[in-house]
Amino acid sequence: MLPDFLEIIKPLAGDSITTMAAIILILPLVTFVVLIFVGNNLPRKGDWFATGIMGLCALLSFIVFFNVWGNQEEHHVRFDWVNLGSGIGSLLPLKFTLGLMVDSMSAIMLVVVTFICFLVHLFSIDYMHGEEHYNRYFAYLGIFTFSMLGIVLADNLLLTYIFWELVGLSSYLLIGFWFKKEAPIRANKKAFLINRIGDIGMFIGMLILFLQFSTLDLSALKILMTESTFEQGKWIITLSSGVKGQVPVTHSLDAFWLTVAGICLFCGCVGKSAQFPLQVWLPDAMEGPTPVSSLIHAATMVAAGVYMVGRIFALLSVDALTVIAFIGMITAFMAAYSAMTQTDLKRVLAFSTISQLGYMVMGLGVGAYDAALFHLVTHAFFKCLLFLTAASVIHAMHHVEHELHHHGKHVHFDPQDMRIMGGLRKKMPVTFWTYFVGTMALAGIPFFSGFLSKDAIIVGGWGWADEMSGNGSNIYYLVPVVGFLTAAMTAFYMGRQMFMTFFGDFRLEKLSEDAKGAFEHVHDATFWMKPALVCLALFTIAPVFVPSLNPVNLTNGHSSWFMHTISIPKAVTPDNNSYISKETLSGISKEHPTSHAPAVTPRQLSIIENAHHRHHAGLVLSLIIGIGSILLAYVFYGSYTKLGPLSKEKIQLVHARITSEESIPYKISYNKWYMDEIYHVVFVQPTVYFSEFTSWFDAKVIDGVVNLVARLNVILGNLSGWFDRWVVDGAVNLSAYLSGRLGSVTRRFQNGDIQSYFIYMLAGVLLVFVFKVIW
Amino acid sequence: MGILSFIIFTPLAGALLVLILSSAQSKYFKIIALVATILQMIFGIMLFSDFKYGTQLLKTPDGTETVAYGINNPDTFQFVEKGDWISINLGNYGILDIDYYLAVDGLSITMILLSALVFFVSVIASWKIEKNLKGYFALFLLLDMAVVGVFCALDFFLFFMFWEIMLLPMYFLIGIWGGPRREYASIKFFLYTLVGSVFMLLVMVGLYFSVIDPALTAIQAGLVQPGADINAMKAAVLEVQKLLAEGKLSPAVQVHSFNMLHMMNTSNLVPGSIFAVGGEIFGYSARLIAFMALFLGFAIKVPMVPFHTWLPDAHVEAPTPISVILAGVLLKLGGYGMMRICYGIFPEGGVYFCYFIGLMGLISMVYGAFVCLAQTDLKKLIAYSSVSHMGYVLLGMASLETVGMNAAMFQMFNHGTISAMLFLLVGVIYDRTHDRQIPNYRGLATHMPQYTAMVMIAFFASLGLPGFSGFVSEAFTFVGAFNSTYIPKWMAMVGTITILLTAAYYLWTLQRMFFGEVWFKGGDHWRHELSEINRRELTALIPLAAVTVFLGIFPSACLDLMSTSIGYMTQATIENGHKLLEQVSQMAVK
Repeated sequence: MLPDFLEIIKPLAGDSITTMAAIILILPLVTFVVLIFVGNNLPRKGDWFATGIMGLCALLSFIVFFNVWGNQEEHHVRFDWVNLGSGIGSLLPLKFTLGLMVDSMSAIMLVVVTFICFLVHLFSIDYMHGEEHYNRYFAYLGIFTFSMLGIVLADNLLLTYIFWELVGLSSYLLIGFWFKKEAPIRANKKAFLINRIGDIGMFIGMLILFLQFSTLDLSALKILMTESTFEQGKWIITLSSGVKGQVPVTHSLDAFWLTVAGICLFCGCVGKSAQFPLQVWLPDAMEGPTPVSSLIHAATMVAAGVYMVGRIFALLSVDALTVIAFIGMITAFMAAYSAMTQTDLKRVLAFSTISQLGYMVMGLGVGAYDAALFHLVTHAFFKCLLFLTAASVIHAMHHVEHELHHHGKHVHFDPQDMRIMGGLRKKMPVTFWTYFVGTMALAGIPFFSGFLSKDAIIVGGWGWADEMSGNGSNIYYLVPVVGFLTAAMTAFYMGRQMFMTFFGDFRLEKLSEDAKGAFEHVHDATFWMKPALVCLALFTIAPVFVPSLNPVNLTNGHSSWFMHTISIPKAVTPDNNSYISKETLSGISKEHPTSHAPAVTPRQLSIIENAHHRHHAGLVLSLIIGIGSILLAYVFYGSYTKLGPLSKEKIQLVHARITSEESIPYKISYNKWYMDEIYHVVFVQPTVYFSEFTSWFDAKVIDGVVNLVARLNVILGNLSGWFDRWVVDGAVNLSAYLSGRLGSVTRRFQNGDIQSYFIYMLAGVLLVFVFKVIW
Repeated sequence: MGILSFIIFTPLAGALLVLILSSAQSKYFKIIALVATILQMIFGIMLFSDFKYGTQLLKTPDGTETVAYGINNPDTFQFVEKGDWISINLGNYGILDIDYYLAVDGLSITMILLSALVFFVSVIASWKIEKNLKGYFALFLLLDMAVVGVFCALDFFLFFMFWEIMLLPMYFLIGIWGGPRREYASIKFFLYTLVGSVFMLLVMVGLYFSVIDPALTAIQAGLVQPGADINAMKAAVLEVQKLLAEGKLSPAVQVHSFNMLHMMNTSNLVPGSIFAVGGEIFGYSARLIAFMALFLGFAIKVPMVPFHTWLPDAHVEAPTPISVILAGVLLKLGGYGMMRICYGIFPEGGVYFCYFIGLMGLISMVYGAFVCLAQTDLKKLIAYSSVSHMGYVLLGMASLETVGMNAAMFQMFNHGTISAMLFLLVGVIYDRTHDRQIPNYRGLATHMPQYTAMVMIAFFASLGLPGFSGFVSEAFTFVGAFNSTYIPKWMAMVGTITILLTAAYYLWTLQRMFFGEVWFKGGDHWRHELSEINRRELTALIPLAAVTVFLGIFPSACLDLMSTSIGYMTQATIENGHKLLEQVSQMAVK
């Protein structure tokens, strides 16, 4: 039975859930429009208006969530966006459909996005208070939320791409919010352009899928992928329009295009989720306001890449997934390595974001779909929390600077530099304790949410390596090994940050005489900041995700309500069956039936089973690594705090104790693997030079030829003018002259003398006579 | 007189009125121009509301109903106005017949609407013109007439006449009201376009001798009486075409025609004539050469690299409203001409040269974008971005694929609105400081926030951000090019680099000119001169921005108007193109 193409992409009416989703989607856009146009005239420039609408969105999202969560059905509304009639030589319609789809995954994302967004709005009211363009800030947040929700709800890759670019725009606007400063406006351009590189890849992936399937609708793609066959290296799909008597259309491509399509689509994720090799934009993006970093560049937008790959997970071939796993691994490691030496409060968190996104991508690559998306959710909460606490610290440091100035003491310092902080926990208890919770989650300490999901990913990677190494290669074990290594580095740099910022003495006071007494000006998070911090901290502890008090369950992500409902989708690419290892062939163990079992391929099941076997070992290893690394950080940086009067030299001395700043490993870490520099030399400069060359070529060569032709024409014109004047006209003048001369000769004969006329006549007659005789 | 005549000649009436009034009454000239363009817009909207498209059916002369696709079927055109214009008996050379033949189909409707919009906006932008208002507005309105005339004409002679008329006002508008190098620029523009016209003229004359009007010939040959009923006429036409193919039709009764629709039908070709199937020039297919000649003529207008260098000069020297018209409408004449004439009359050329056209499109896209990156003159940057964006049109066309062809047409429309916005915006600062150098400005966002907001809208629209119409046409161009079986896949893939480069030059410009601390080369003087964008300037910009956003969200509003025609055209081009190529190769075998 051929799939009926018209049936697959027909318009769908939707239901109350999709209507509510549409309302949630549109409301932030309303905020944007209102605040941009009349924001300045609203009370308080519309901040409460925006926050209120966001609260409403969050409320509606919770309603949607409780209605949808755990149900298998999809709520789907779809309509024709563009209909170009039928294609050449076939009766298949050339249609681009758009619509919204709500299932469990998008429902939880709705909640995560709107709820975090609401909290960030709340936090921003105090944090951004008094900024120029205050209304614009909230307007931009509105358009960001709109586009992000669009990605979440899109039922179609084209629609995803549309919102994908729009979040790029809102990210651009928000990073460059302080557009008078040089750094933000460089950073936002960089972010947009690097994201576009990824987007181009994603776009090409979409082109391939559209070429083969004539639609980009996600649910249609899944059906069509299932119906595809692979024969002799060809990827074949036969589509029928459902009209009786009509010949079905067969599309065929080389099989490797499927892997190409998967990797190309993944490129979108590489850009947006800051994966290697496009991760360089994210640290720079920290130039934006910190709540923005927290919302967009930590919790939601950067996770959109992971979400998108999750959406197309079923279409990814085994080769594509392997690439994804390794990219994720490389990213996680590189970023964690960089994070260990950063001195900027936000940069450490930025690198940790990249690193955690690397984990998620790695999770998807190894097939631990559920764990990866779980990590996406837990990470959204604890990373947002960490950034907001950082914002709180920066806010306090700004306040200190301001107060010192107020007292006539001009101390200049970078309010984000951890080297001048320390001991802040005493003055900022709420900030510290919420930060502590977030750090524990990120460092992967049991009983915090991050442990549950990260552990599940690494163990999943282990199981995957067991399966993949069935072909005799051990290279796949690199993934779990690096996963554990990165976990160790993560706990280390977070411990380092915690000790440097919150423990020991406030080192700013030791920086100069003027800064004495600065500690007194440090204040905790303000009134409207606290609810966000506390709320997010609550969502970071394990029991919120695991409804149990049993410590065994509390350390196992698979016992969470999340992973009970979100299950691994069955891979529908045909090569999933060609990689079955010995273990799988010898029969799948029946001892640990999991909830996933019925819906996945044998290969996937085998990975799940392997991971299950590794669970206990993984748990113990994670535990040791997490706690051990924090202790290690204490050994190195705990003492950092106990120093006496501290000068810059002394700070450097401390660093020298750990690792010399001159040493190559340190430099590589601090300078982010020199990727910016390399890219500048390899890509940016040649592009600029080449553009200058083309411009020169255009002006001198192409236009030169045009002008040369013009000049040749002028010369030709002059030549023909000369010819005309001297040759043509010369001949005319010559003949005139000659006839003139002739005239003046013959004129002499006409002298009016009759006698001479007779002589002429006689001479003439004589001449004729002579002539006749001689002839 | 039908509505099309009104659309075409309303501006001419305005121009005559301007000429009649004395220069002392110069304050009325802009009012007259404004009224004329508004009237034209109203007629355009009437045209739009009566236009049948998609599944809406059109009544044909013989009483049946049909889908209104136009292209090469005279019965499916709308708002037809046809009248004898010139008819001369040339004895043994047959009869010369030129018609006043106007009609609209999906190919031209959007272009007519675009012209009406852009000319209206340009009048508003012309408000500050001070030099010789009488001449300016008379020429301006004459230009308006000619441009719309080109889009409506279905008689090649009429088309050519409008095409040539267009050159003259443009030459003077740049040459008199332009910038410092206006004379160089206007002559370059004039001569370059004239080169294209020469090609067109040659092919037109050749076509004239190769094509007959079968209905008139039938009457002339006495096969049917004038005014006979439609079925008798159809039978007679078939009879004439049969006689013609058999070579039994005496040249004396052949009524030659400039009617494009007759030219599209190969049954009307006189056997043995130059553009008959199999006709040769120097051993090459004459029809393919004719395609190429016409194509190059239009490609100069598009403009296609390497025939584009007149464009930056013309743009930089032209006054703002003329730049707007140049980019907004005049470039589209090239693309429209290709579709209507090149692909319509010589479909095999479209099939035969698809690789070449696609490659040239790709080169225009990428090359134009690279050149943009190196520009320091804002207007020049935007001029080159036009080269890059019009490259999409060629790539889409070359794909010979329904989506790609639709995208090509839609891209022309979108480029019309977006580039018009961009040139208006450049005009805003040029009016104030007479300087367009990017490095001479910084921090305009602080100094002129509303202006910056408009610039950002235009820039993001131009760099193909979703939500703006440019995205849809660019994305569909790539879809078409990638799905095409005529051009290789790498063309679409390489072409996507353009969207990165486009973003790069626009964002870099934003960074350099608009963000950062306020600094102007002209110091406090400029700071004083650079007043915020005013209401008149916004009035010109907002309709364009609104159209761009609206079509970004609801592209169907524009695509539906054209998709039936273009789908049909694509199919016809491919089918007829292959058939003709095959016939030629069979002849060669014989």
